Amino acid sequence: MNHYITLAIKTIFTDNMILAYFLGMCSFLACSKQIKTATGLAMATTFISTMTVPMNWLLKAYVLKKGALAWAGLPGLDLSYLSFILFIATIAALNQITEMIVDRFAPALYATVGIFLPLITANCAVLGATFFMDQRDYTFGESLVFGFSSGAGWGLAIITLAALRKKLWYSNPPAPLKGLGITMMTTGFMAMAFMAFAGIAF
Amino acid sequence: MSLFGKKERLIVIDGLWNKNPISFLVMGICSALAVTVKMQTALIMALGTTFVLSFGCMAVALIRNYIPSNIRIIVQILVVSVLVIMVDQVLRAFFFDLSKQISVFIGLIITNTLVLGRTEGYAMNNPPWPSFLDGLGNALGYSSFLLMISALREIFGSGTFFGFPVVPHFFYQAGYINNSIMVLAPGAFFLLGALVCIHRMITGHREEH
Amino acid sequence: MVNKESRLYPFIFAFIICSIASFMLASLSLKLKARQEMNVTLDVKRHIFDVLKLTPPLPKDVLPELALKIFNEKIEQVVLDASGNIVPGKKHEDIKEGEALYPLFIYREGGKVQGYCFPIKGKGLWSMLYGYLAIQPDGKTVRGISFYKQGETPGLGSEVESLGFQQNFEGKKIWDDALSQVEPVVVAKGKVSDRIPKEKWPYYVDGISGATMTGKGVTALLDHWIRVYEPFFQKQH
Repeated sequence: MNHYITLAIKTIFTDNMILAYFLGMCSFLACSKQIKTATGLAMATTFISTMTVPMNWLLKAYVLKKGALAWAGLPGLDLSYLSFILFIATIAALNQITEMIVDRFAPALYATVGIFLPLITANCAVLGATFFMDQRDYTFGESLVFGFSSGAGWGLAIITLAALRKKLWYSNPPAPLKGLGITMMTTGFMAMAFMAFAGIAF
Repeated sequence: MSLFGKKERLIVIDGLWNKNPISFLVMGICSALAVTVKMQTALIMALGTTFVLSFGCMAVALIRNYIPSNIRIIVQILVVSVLVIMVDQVLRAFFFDLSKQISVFIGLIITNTLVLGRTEGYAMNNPPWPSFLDGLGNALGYSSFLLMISALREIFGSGTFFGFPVVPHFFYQAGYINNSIMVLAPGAFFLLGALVCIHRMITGHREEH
Repeated sequence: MVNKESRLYPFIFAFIICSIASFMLASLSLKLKARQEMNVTLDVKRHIFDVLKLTPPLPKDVLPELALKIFNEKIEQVVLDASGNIVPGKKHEDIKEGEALYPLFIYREGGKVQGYCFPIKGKGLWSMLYGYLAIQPDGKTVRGISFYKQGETPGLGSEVESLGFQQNFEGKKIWDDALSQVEPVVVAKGKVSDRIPKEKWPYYVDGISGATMTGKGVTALLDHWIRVYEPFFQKQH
């Protein structure tokens, strides 16, 4: 259990998808102008990445890995060269399905969170989480924890930045620094602050 | 029609400087910043992105009249993924050590919004050759930012350039130490912010709140 | 020409483009597969080359085939039991999880032993550190160390992977001749020359500033593994 908690804390804070690996930068910058938008996107991302990382783990273990197709009578087959394409396909498909379900059964939720779902297919943080799961050889349980906490960490970062940008509204930086420049600097300071969590383990 | 007329040159220069994708469109920095600690990885990443972006644009432009519009995004993703997998496979075979470090980030070129932005925004409506140049120009503009950040990070963070020591020994003896913030993530954010600021000072581009 | 308005058209198009894509990828993968697999097998061996510091050194861009050949010629793989005896007929792959058997690499040049090398692993601050330790033929001196996998704090603890830190270990002692007992190498907190009495210098290496906990982890894992292999090295004194 402690192992999972340590993994979660590490993924949310010190190995934060955006502040340590720069993943999901585009929507991070584009959707952090308002706290409400940021919160919706954060929730949707957390949900999708909690779902897709374990799903892609199953895909890897039972289809893509060398010898993974032994259950289908093809023990010699190694399809790992297709992994990139199938991982992104899973994410795109899951997004589409979730969007349809939410739209059909929970229109209120769709209005707040659902509209962000199409954005998430192209969110590097989600695909990145899958790639890290693949590269670091996580177990199924670990991939579940990692999927959730990488999304949650990303969400935490974007909500925090949205709050900070609201305050920046009242500041008056030099004109060329306005917008992207000052946001980048702010993110840099956030990254430094998050590094303070280094060293927490259970 | 000439292959390198004034119009064609303009397409490349637009991407490279006038409408630099990072400074203007705020696109595609996700997959790349993480590999800017060292020049070597950044260079490979830049080459990979350039290859995928220019040929991806060309391939999409070639088949643009046949793509059914309701599945066009997924077709573009497919074309890009195929090129990305090719890059990754070649790296795995010939540059194994590098590939171990950057394979994840090479894979993430698939979701690089810059790539999808160019294929959807330009290549879907233009012939192959201008699309290729547009992709190339944007990729070069993107790579130049990447390599600049990486050069600064490696020189100030590790005192090396492409792995060769560049900070003279007597600097260290005089008490100079490498700035480890450059090796860490915040350094990249600060540098990117500063570079964007400088680029906008020169080009005069402003962003409204 | 297929009718673009037809409902079937997207399916036909998707089918054709997927076939082309999979054909291209499959053929590329088939072409490069042998080379990729060679790289993977060689990957582990390369760490062993690095830590043993072959004389003459391996060229940096050596072909995988040649490197594999050199490895098989010069480096012997043996298995030790808990009291340091070589178990005949056992291979590294035969060692099961939890068995008190330990892998060892012996590097020979022209029939003469040049060095020994064994895998080490242990917890750092918050990740497992994996590496190799090489010992000189006298069984008392460190020939080299290398960590190839770790997840410590970037820029601080991750410096265990840097050449600068690893070079510190070369020539350090793991055996105290005066007391005739094992004396594993310790990572000091800070610079050795500032903090450690001079007679102890052969057993200490400079710590990494800002990475005390990682240093403690390295000390603990060295202590563990050096003691595990000590019975064998005593026989070489």
